[in-house]
Amino acid sequence: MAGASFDPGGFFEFDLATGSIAARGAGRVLVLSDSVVAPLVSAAVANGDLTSVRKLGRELGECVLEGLGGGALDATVEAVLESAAGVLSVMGWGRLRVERWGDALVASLDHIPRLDEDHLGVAALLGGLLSALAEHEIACVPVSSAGHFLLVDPSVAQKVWKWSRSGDDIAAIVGRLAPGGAA
Amino acid sequence: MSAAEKVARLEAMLARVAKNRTDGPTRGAPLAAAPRAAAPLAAPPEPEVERSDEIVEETIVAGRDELMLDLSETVAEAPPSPGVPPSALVSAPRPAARPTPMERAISTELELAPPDADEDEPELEISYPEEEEPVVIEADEPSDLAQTAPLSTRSPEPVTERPPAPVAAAVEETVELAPEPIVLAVPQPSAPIARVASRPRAATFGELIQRALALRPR
Repeated sequence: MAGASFDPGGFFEFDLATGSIAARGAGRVLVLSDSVVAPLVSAAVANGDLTSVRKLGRELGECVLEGLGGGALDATVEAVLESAAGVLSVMGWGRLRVERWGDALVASLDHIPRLDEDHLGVAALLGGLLSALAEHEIACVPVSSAGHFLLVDPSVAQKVWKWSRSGDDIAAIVGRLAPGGAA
Repeated sequence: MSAAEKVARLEAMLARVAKNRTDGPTRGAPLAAAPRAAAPLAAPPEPEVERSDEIVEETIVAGRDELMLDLSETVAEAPPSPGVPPSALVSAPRPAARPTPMERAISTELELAPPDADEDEPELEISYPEEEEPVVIEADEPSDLAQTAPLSTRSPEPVTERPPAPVAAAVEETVELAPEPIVLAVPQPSAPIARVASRPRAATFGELIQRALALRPR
């Protein structure tokens, strides 16, 4: 269920005469089962190229921006995140939640589709969506097996990923970060 | 026995002794023993002496004479064995060392001593029980070991076995183990535990993302 700033009514247009589906602000979309998408995403992860998935996220972000009526930088945090959660929900990617850990932000998806082992496909999708909203490249790094992603600058994404793989939990990883790298 | 009878008995004994002297072989030793035999005459008669004591006394007094007489009779009357000289019989060793009169008196006294001569001394008997039996005191029964004497005369308190500890009863009972949480009081700080220099929350999405992207490794 989307927030108050997101109205799911009329989000999809089904043209039975032409046999096509159009999403609001996203053009034509296809309905695919996760059992079909998962192998595709896994193959992209194996190849190290998640550009297509990230592009899909960007399109979802543009859909959110269209619902916001313009840019998202000056909009309230709640309005932007509610619209983003609404779009992800109607697209079947799960329920978006965002947590503050000090200055750090941790996004998570309830009922996340299992596309690959480390949720790297979903991480690329969220990264593309949030990058479209922030007008800045954002990296979402998986930091738990339950579908939690830390929003960081792409320059520190690799280090955060290594910390997470070594067993550090969210608190430990966030504790290793400081604004501007100050001690 | 009256004193007169005792005196008459003693005189009869003296007469027999004198007769023996005259009838027996004449030797120096019996003659020398005569004064000794007269000694009992000088001694006053003891009224408590019974007849058995008189015989002992007579034996003691005439002991040496009888010994000499026995030897003389043995030498004179025993027929000499063929081939054995009489001197061998005389010098032959006595069959057994006969006790001296003093020894005989002592032995007689010891034999005649009443068995309960030491009645005054308490009879001490030490007995050890074959096996110590534990003293079992039932909790319901009144104890016989209750002290009734005054405190000053009481003996040390006897060591009694204590009733079994209640632990044994607890062991027999079947208790289902269940977690018992220890309730801890929640601390109530009188002042903020820590002060965080927090900035006002980001009002816009742009500011929120900007702070998150500014994070770098320490």
